[in-house]
Amino acid sequence: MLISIQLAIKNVYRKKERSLLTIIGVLLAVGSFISLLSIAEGLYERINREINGRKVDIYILPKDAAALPTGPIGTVGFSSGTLPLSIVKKLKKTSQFPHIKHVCPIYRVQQKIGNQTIIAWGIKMENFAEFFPYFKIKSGGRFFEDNASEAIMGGNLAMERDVKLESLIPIEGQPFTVVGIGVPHYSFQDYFCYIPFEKAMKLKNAKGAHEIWIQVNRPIKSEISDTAKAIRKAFPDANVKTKEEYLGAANEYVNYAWLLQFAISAIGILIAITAAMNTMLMSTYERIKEFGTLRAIGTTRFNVFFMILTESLILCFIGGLGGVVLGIMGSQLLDDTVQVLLQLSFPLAKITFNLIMYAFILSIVVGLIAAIIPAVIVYRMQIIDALRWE
Amino acid sequence: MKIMLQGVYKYIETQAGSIKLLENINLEVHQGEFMAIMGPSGSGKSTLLYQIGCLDIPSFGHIFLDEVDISQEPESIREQIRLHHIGFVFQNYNLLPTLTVIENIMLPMQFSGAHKGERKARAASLLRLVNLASKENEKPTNLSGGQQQRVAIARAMANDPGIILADEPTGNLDGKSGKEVLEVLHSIHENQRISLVLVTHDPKVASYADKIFYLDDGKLRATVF
Repeated sequence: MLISIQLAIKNVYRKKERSLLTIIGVLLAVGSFISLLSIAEGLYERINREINGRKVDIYILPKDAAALPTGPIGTVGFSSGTLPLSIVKKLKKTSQFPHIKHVCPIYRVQQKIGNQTIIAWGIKMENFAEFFPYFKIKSGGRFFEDNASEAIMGGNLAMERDVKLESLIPIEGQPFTVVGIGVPHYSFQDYFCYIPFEKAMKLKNAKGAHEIWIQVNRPIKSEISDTAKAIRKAFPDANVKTKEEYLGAANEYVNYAWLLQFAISAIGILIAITAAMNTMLMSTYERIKEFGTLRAIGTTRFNVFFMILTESLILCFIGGLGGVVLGIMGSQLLDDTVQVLLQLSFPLAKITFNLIMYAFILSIVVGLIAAIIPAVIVYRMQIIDALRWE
Repeated sequence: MKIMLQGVYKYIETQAGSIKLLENINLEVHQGEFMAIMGPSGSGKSTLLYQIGCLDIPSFGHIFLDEVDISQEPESIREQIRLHHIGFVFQNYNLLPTLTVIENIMLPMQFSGAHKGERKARAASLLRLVNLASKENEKPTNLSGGQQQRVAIARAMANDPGIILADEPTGNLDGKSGKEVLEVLHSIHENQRISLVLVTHDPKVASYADKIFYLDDGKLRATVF
């Protein structure tokens, strides 16, 4: 087995230019795979962190709202529909909804600053700690007061815009004093700005909330589903989703994005497979006589098969390694471009461990597919035919 | 090692139909014997050699290697027979160009699982035997045809086989190099009592052998002792 690996390595060096071109083909395919899918992977991870970072058991949305968390949909164009505030009052009636613990209306305002759109969340002070238990304010700062023109900035947003405590930021033409800056939590929360709910409504003369969040007394499945059922019955015009349903629906969108990006990168993968297979076929046909000789001196069929497979895997693995590096750089470039095009204030792409594993698996699969036909040809070839090969 | 062929036939199927390459071959090569197979081009000399060398199986008949009918053995056993008991020398040397001379010689030993030290010592000794000790780290492409063929002989000797099969070993060589190669083969046969079967169309080459078989149109026509 070891000798087969040694012979495979020597053969990779034999035609350096051809090997290099194959490596470049795989490198480009893996690089584009990582770059493209880092957007979907980043979106998936951030959405999950975002939703799991909130203590929301049930979401109430306008009927036409897309089931995506505020972050990504916010800047791309969320539903303009609102929910009447009377719903909030009714939900607080313990006789009708005995399991509800907290109700939190949300109103979002988009503010363009430079070429970026940031999202200001209108949320009641009392709800902040209840629904964002992981949100921590950096030392020196504090939470806003409900009727004040004060704001809290997500940690990354403040860093990117170089916002300090006590500085003023404009939202809908009104100055808001930054009284707190969040500690980064590696989710969309870090890229948002938070202002008092009533102030947010007033900025737009709004009559209702964009979302209403519910927290139940005991977050167990039966209590959540009973409450959701009761809310659906009471407000048939609203879109009611439990946290699990909301997460599932959001991830479904991300899965579509993942599939779309995979389909695009599959073109590169197919080209890489073709290039690698062409190299392996050429390299194999050039050496048929050598394989015949190896078989004649006692090498097993399996050793020869393994040698071709190893050679292809070496080429594709090196291509895969380079592809990961290229993919990381490409992902950064793509993310910067997406942020500019969609005027996002937050990054989407993320190179996850899973993505790197997928890339390596992909390069191995490319190597295996590229080698399988040449390896089978040599495996099945009669020794005398191979020795007489011209 | 004793080799015995009994009623060996070889046919190949082509689009034009079945073609007979060997017909009713019966012969014996005894331990330490030097045998030459002669005949015109296309007479089936190499085909016969490949049957003896377990590279192919006969359509009919039996080939015994020390009482074992190798024509009935599965490929896995035939691989082991080729590795441990048979050494091949080809007309075009068939050395691996990516390996050095000594690596080429060590190759069969690596496949048979010999230790590194053992491999190196044996390869060095074989290189001395074929008078190429100074060329061990050269690539085959840097050697003359005669030198490459001597490396191929050393490789054939690597696993201490019972028989060496040589297919036109001097066919690509000039007279002087061809003579050197034959002398090496003859000396190995004389000193180590290895059976040697050599295919040639050159009577001068065949004259080194103890026994000469003449093959014509796939049939053994005559045997000269």
